[in-house]
Amino acid sequence: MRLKIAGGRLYDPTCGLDGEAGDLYVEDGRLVAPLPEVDREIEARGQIVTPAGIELRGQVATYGLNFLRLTDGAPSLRELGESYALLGYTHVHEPFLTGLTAGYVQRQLAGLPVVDTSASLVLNLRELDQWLRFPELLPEVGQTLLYLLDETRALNFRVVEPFVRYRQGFYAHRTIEPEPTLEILAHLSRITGAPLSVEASPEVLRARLPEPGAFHLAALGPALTADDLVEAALAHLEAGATGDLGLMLPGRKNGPTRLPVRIDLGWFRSLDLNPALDEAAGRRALALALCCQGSQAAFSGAGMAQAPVSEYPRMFSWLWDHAARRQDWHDDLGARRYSLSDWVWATRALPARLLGLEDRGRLSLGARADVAIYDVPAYAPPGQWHHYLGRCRTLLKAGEVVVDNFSLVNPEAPRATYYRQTGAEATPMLAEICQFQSLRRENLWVKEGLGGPWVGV
Amino acid sequence: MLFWGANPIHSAPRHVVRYAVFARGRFTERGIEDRQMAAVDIYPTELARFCPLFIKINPGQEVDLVAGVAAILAGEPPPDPVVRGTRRLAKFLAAASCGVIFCGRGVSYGPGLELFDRLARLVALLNQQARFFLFPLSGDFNSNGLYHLLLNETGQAGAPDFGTGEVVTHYTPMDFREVDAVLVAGADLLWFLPDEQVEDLKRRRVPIVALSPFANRTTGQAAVILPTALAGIETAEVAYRMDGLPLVLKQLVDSALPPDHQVLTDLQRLIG
Repeated sequence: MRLKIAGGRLYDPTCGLDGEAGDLYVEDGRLVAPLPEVDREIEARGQIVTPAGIELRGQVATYGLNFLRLTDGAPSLRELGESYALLGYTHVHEPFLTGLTAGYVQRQLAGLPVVDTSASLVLNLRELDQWLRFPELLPEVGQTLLYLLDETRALNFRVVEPFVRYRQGFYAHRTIEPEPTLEILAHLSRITGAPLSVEASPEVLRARLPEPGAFHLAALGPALTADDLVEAALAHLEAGATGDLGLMLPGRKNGPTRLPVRIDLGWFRSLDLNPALDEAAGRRALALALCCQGSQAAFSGAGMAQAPVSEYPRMFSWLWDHAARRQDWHDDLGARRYSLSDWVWATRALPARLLGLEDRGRLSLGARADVAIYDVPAYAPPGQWHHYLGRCRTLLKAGEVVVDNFSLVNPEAPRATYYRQTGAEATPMLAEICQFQSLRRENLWVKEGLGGPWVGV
Repeated sequence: MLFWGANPIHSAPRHVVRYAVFARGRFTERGIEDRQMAAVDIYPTELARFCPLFIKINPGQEVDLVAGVAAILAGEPPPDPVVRGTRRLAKFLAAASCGVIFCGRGVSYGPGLELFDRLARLVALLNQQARFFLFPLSGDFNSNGLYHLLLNETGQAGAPDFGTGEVVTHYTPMDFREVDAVLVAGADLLWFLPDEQVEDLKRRRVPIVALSPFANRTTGQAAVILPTALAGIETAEVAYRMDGLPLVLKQLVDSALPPDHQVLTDLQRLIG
């Protein structure tokens, strides 16, 4: 279908568009040069037209999330998919896929309607520690990881615990502290050819990053447990690392009696899906967002329990509205106000770049026609933006209208899971790792029937 | 390791041998010799043979036992009435450096929701001192798959009622007195229903349609039997393990019978 989006106020910082009126043309699911004839014209005069949103940290398929549903009534997959689409998002990235839970995560992602998906393969360094100690073995480690990335249909690597530790004193000799681990990870990043996402923690923020450009600091918010960590995070971002903000709500809806939901994924610490409230950290995360002048920090929520997608419009409003900050945080937390271009950069352009989705997050010719149109009156002050930017009027996904007139009109729109197609071969090291598992982990890798359709990038 | 209302010797024998009790672990290299076992049940089950601490309680004492253990672990006196074995169980749990409570179907008898909630809070309390896990042992093949399906699709694990347009979830047992037709798929319903309910269905001559690869009690009473292919043998299927991880089961032998979901899809098409 050939489409014309007529007369919208275009926002795309990658092309320098900052509200200029213009037309967009769509053919075969891509943005193209002006067409002489179109099948449909979407009137967007006066409305805001942006690339569709890309969620960098959507905890939608994490192993154990069903326990959160069991105890706290978290939204179903259908509700999550619809929420993202109505917000103007077309891609959701799941942060926690492990070697053992790959099949589960991929099956859950396949059940998420409307939006495209991808996932990070979380590395458990304890499984690799005998090889990580020897620099000459790192190329084989890199090849093994690239093979695992392909086998588990994941898009990039993530490290939650950049260290090797055991609770049992007997294994104390196998400990690797964070600083040397980060050196090793920087080396691995060069071998695998992509920055590594490292879950931010006070330890990581206080450490020296050997090559800041090799790291993405994920979910900064929960890690900001002390004031000095804001400065440390800023220093890393200014030195070349990228990050995502991990913003969180100031208060919990259901009070403090909610059961903790901690999931053992084989790490040193369990994954806490329902962490205790840390309002001070949330305040620091927002302060960091406001004083981060560069273009290195993307928008993200801290997790499903602390920052549900239904609250994203409220969290957006903190970025540009002093009154919203004062209402929720009782403080301005900074003088800066995000412009609409800043917001588009943080929620679209930078996430697309970080995930390696080259044809997303922009409105230039050749990009995939993932376009969100918001009905924001030109006279609306920033204090009202979140009313309009929290409800997408029209959403195009690969040129297909998914949301029209604020309603989901195509819940069966084709969707896919994106993964990095490495073509790497299995290594002897992998066989050795699998040999030490009491569970046949290779049986748990992704098979046809457990997810997809997959698109290799 | 504590088994609560569970008898895996019958419900999941491989669980005992391969994974939980006798298996040699990374930090428990001598298997059962490196583990401490306990069980709580209302019957003296086979677990008593290898569980040095076996607490036999009477029906209705479950919640009091959990409350007493939680109180002792929190440093408070256990509330009255104190169930026999409360102190020994609290001492057993407090001594663990890494523990797991396996819940069986016995938890669902009586005040199931309250008991499970209290067990979850007990595990949360124990986690303040050591690693502790709560692990529901599912009974039948792929019953975990049903819970994941319900949670994914409706966000709730109870019985969904689609009759009102919006999905309403019920956590109380189904009242079959209101029912005038029953379609059973993937279960032997009459095996699980109390005798009174089975007799009521028979007395009222409620027609039963059964989809099943086997002859069972339900097919014995069914007005219509639709034979289906056996998942994982005669048809490929995805099944969930007890820990919630899905596995793809391959088709091993050819079958002329359709899988359950095909029959249900055809029925929906014909009725709709």
